[in-house]
Amino acid sequence: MAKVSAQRKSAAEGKGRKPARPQLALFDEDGGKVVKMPAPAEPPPAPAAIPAAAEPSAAPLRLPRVTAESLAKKQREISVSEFFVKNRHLLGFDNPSKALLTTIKEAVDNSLDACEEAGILPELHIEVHDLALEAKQRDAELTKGEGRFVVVVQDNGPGIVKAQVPKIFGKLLYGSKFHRLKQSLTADQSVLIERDGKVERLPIGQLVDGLLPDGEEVRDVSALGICAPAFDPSTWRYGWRAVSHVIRHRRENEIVEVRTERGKRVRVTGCHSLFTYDPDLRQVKAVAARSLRAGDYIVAPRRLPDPARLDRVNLITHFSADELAPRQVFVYGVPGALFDALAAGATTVHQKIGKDKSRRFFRVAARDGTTIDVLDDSWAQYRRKGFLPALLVKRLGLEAECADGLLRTYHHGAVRETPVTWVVSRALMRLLGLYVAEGHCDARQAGFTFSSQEMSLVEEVVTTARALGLSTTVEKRPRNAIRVKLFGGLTSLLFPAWCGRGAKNKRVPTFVYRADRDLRQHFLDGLYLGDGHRVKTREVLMFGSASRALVDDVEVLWLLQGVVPSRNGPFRQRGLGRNASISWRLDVHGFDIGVSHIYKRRDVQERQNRYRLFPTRKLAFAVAGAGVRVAAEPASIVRAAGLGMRPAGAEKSVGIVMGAAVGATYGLPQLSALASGRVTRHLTNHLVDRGYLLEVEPGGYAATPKVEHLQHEVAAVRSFCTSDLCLLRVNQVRRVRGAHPFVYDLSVPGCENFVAGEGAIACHNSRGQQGIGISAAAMYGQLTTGKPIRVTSRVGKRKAAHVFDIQLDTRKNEPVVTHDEARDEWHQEHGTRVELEIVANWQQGKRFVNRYVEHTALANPHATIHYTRPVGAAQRTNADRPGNETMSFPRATSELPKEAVEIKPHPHGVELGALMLMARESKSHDVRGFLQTAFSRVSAPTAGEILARVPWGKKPVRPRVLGANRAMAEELHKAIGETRLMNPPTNCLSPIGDELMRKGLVSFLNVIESEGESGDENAQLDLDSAGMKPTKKAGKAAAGKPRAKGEPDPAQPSIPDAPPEEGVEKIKGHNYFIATVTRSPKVYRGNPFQVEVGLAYGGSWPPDKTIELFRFANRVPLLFQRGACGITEGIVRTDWRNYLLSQPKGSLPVGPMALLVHIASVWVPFTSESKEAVAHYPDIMKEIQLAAQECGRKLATFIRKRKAADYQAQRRSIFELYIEEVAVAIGKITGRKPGPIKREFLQVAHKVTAAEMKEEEKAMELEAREAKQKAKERAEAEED
Amino acid sequence: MAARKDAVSKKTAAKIETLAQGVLKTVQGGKNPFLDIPIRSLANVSWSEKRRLVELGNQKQKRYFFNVAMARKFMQTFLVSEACKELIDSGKTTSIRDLYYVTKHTIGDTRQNTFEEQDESDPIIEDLEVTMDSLREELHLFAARKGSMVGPITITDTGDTIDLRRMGSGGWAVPSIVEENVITFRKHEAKYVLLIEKDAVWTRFNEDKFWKRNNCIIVQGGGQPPRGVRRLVQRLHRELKLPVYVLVDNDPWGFYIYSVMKQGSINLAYESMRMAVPDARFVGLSSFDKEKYALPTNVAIKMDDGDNNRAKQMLAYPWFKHARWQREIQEMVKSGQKFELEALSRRGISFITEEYMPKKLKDRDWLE
Repeated sequence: MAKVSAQRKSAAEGKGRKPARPQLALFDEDGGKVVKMPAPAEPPPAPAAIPAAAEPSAAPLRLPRVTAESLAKKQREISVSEFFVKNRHLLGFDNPSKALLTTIKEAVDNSLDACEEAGILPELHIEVHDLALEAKQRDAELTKGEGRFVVVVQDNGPGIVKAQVPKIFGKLLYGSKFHRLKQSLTADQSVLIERDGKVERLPIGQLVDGLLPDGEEVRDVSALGICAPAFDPSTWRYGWRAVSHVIRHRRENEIVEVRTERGKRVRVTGCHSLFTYDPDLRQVKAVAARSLRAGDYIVAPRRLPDPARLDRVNLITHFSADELAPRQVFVYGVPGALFDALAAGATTVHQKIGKDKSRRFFRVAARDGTTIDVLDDSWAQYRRKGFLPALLVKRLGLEAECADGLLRTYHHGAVRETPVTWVVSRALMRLLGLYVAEGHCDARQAGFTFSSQEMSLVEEVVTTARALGLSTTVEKRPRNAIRVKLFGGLTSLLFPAWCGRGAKNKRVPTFVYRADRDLRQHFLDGLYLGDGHRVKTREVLMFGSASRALVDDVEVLWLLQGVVPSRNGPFRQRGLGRNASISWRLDVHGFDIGVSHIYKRRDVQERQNRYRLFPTRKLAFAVAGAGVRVAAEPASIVRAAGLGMRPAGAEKSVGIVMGAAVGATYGLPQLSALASGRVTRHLTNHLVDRGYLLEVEPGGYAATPKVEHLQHEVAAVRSFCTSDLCLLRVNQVRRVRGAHPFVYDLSVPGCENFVAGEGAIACHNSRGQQGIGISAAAMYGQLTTGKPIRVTSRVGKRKAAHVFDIQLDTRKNEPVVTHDEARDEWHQEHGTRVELEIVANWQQGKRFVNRYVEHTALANPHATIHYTRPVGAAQRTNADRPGNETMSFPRATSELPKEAVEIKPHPHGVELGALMLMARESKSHDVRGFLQTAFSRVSAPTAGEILARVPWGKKPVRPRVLGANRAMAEELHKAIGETRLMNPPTNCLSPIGDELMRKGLVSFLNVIESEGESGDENAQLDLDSAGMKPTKKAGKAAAGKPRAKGEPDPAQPSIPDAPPEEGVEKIKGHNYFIATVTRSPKVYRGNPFQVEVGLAYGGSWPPDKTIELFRFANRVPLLFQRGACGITEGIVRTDWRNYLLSQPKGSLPVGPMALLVHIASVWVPFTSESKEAVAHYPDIMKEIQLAAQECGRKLATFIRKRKAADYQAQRRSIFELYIEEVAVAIGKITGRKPGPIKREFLQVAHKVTAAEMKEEEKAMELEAREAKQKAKERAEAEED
Repeated sequence: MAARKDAVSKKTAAKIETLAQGVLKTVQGGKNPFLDIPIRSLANVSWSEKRRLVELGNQKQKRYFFNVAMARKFMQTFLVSEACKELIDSGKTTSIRDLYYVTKHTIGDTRQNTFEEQDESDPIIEDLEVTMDSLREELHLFAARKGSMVGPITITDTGDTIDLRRMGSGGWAVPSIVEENVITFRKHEAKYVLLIEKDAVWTRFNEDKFWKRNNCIIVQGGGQPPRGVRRLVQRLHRELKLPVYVLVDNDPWGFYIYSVMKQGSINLAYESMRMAVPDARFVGLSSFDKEKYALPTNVAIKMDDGDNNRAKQMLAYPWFKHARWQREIQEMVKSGQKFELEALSRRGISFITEEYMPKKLKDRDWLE
């Protein structure tokens, strides 16, 4: 249906081009079926218009024949929203308790990210309001079951620009992190767009700056109807497609200039993608500019799409009012009806002019809403004679109504008339072409200068001008020149307005682009007759100009004709003048010349235009020596694949290869039939050698799958070569310097490409889509409560805050703004506040939400988090405040985590298949270069070291060969594994760090509720298994042990000045031993990752319970699927008994401890999309274990030390006890009284123990050291 | 007799007193009191080639009182010595289990006991034995009674004359203390002593009146023979000059029993002089007897890991270095089989008494 509506929309706009495909179209499965809309529980607040709901769904659809393709297409086109409405468990909204958490999680994660990237220390407010609870009296208890909740998440982040708010919150799968985008063009790169019926070629900076207010980065411009040529990624056809967004942001990357053959070049940021052809996928795919090398091929348009055709030109529309004002130009032939209509809408006013002289005026309403006063006398005259001044026509906006009139000017008293509307004709086009080439203009006339040999042209100009009602003069000038002058009408205005003034500023009139293809060629012909010339010997048609803009324009014109001209220049020519003249040249070669009406190509084949051919480098099957490019004919491609030595042989091979079916067996006669010629054993042997045929029986051959691949290849190449694209060789890629504070981008939905650069190159733009995001929560809220999501956002101090209510149109997956309001005052300078009403279950969900907030605070010590949640009257510490209580996690550090940097993969851990794939994609000339460019930490010597380990290492081998040869790749893979390499750079990771982890743990322990320590916490946190029990204990524990909730008491410092022991922190009266370990980065599958472990031992953690395990991935807490998580597994596998904790077999250790495990990685391998558990990768598990062991060793040292201390304390009492016994025994033996003996013993005791203790301590230390050594050895053994 | 008894007891009592006085003196000198205890571990045990005995070395360990690790044991040593002195003074003997109960009590008002298990007190007794160089028997302690004996001999046991020819089917129970002050030998016609590993086989020998026909004394120790049995056999060997033959199972444990009987044990190395019979002869069951006496393989028992390890350890014992012993043990390891004495019953219920033993002795088919 979206499709239908899009078509309707474009039809209404009156443009005859293809409908722009909506980014995410909803497919209506069988025409008549009404797609179920979410039924809101109550009607959404006014205006309740959700457009899709109002749209009739009975648009008759053609019933296409059902094929696999059409089915596949159907599947692609189901609206994302629609899909997720039905499968919301995929987004973590399976049940009301989980939904609550997911909602908060999405919002908080977004906020933290936004703050971090903007370099703001985050201060978050998370609020959960139980509507039922708050509606009741102050002694109300918590809602027992499901109920309505309002979730509020507010941050002090950079805010979101107004235009983006609806999409971020009201459109599924919409990238919500724009500030992350860095792919763009420099301001001076020209783009081709169509706007207001005009085709323009202008610098992207000028275009975007004109549309974007200062300070904004992105703006939705879909309403402006700007179109740009973009190719469809599946059909490779260009079409004019709507531009949805213009984007501008501060440059962060290097600027790269890519130059290609045919003289094209484009300046983009290094990450900006251009396109290339992937022979393996047989598809066009994006490629980053910085990864390009000379010799690569990038995609450029071969043919640009025809804009909407224009047959007539209304002259008045081409002038501005200011241009017309000083001229005496009148429009005659104005229809009387128009006067009547104007008069009907006019009022009469009196105005004084001059001295006390009042005159009557008609006040006429103009089209744009203003009014113009016309003197009644003038009006009467106009009416009588049926004319209007052109200025008035222009001002009143009556161009269309006067289209049939005549423009009258007076030339030396003589009346000159020309039609208001000029028909775009062959003659006009030639005239314009000639003018652009040869013409000039002064205040009164336009002039053409020809040589005396060009009398035919002189005649043509004169004829055409006369036909248009212009007067002409022809004069002879010195040096064989003939000057033709055109007077009258608006020539002196028209030609400069259309074609530019002066030789250096000449350009192509914009309406020429919209002319019919044939007429455009006439323009070009006129142009080439003037300034072009043909070098017959070289089959080149050359055009030179001092106007760079003109050259650019003409190039576009040629591209519209389906010809890729070749740019040359700039040329500096020192002529007679003081300054060198700079000129450019545009050449059209060989076959292309035939496009012209006047220049005839000689016997030239199409394949002489190299850009029309296909580079062998992009052929998957090309053999060495196949040349640089091949024609798109099967014979040529087949020959490049190494089949058929001579044309005849190739023809036969083509017949066989294109005709054979895989699996079938052919005898020689059948093969001859396929080849339409006698096939000999010689040929079949060749085909067998090449692996296309297989001799299955004597004289019987079966086609191998390779045949099919080649057939596909031929088809793909042919379709590429007949598409609107061509592949151009990159000649040079260089980084350029320059002041480019901003870079720019356009977004073309559906295609995500546009044409830009000097000479038009296809540029990719991509927004990247990071997850489902907050809009899913908005959708859930809408589904369950019918309420829209409310977003307040402010981007800066001087900007107003905007409040939006946004709903989702799930059928179209488009946002619907139901409320939009600007507020000058907001309590924050910048930030975003999201309010959302959802159905949730606090009773069951609170443990998870509490835990999520706690853990987020733990992993983000740089954030301050205020957390407000519903509390029943019984649990409330402050009975006066109804319903809610706030607790705060103050930030532990004011240091922002450092930003991760993108890096290349590290060779260790790259899998074989991935290595081969990378090799195939490599742009390097040999494997040595490939290793250096594709991987991090591989320098030239290292690459040499790796290659020294493979048998073929000394020869230069092409990466492509490696990519195709599994045996070689395996050897290389092995060699890489054997070579010692530096660890991957750490700057791509963002670990918490030892110190911050400690700080985080301390502040976390300071704030957490006693709930965190109560018994039921050990229950598996697994909502998925739905083994949820209401937690009575938690409440009791909280009530029993009132702890410092809410704001921490400032009078009571949480950390004593001198901690009792190294590593020990005193928190809330408990001593915690805290140890942290940050491992150095390691690699799995080429991705660096880093493991951090922190532990807090002792304190108030229960000593006889399983330890608390906090899992984090990239600072995001993992709350679910603990059992299925690799982190848990790693901790379980660690033998904690070595570290003096008890540990039941195959489970987590038991002891008074909380353990934090954090994995920071470029790519964390989650087990599923819900991102709740980390996969069991051996490398990662090993690192977790090693980190845990390292932490464990610290713990063991601490425990041992503490035990020793306990010992000392006990010993005296032990001796005293034993002395009693010994004294009695010795007394009995010796027959003495035990009393004196005891005293004697005690005396010695005091004396001896001091010295003894020292000795013992030494012994103890020795023992500890030994244990440590042993543990270390064990760890090393494990590491090996 | 009485005078002699008094003399031994007096000497022992004096030793205990000296020990206590020594400690007192050290304490009065303001020093950490200690006991010098010879170490009873493998490290301090050596095999004397000359005397063919396992002997205790002279390494000693100081047991300090003011040492957290040793204080408890120090205290326990004095509790035991005190109890022993009382026994000696009152002229009574008691079992080591009894002693454990005598000395066990709670310390002060703690929940600690002086001894938690008998396992704690038994080594203390052994410590005391070596420290004071007086035997357990001299301390008036005895171990659990085990073992029985019959044969053509008359003895006196604490004044009672006993004819070991008339002991019926059960035999005379060998007491724990068999010192000269308790047991004395009178009249005998025995030509040798046969020590049998287990009670069941001994009963067969008794029932078949083997001792009568062959004029020998048969003794059994119920597995590893207790100190009483070993001491008695040694006295029979020493005083009556009777050769000693040992009949045990063909398994590492049986070999070990023989080895303890022959050279003494590591744990009681300090008593080897009084217990070991270096001339004892091994009469079976040999690893090669399975072929000699045509034992079917189905009566064999498979060796387990423990057996194998033990056998390999034994290969390294210096007293098993003789080539014949090496062959014997290696054969067992190689075959992986062990045989009980009862396996011989496969050839007939009295095969062992009527054919096996006579043939062994006649052929002089023993190992030394």
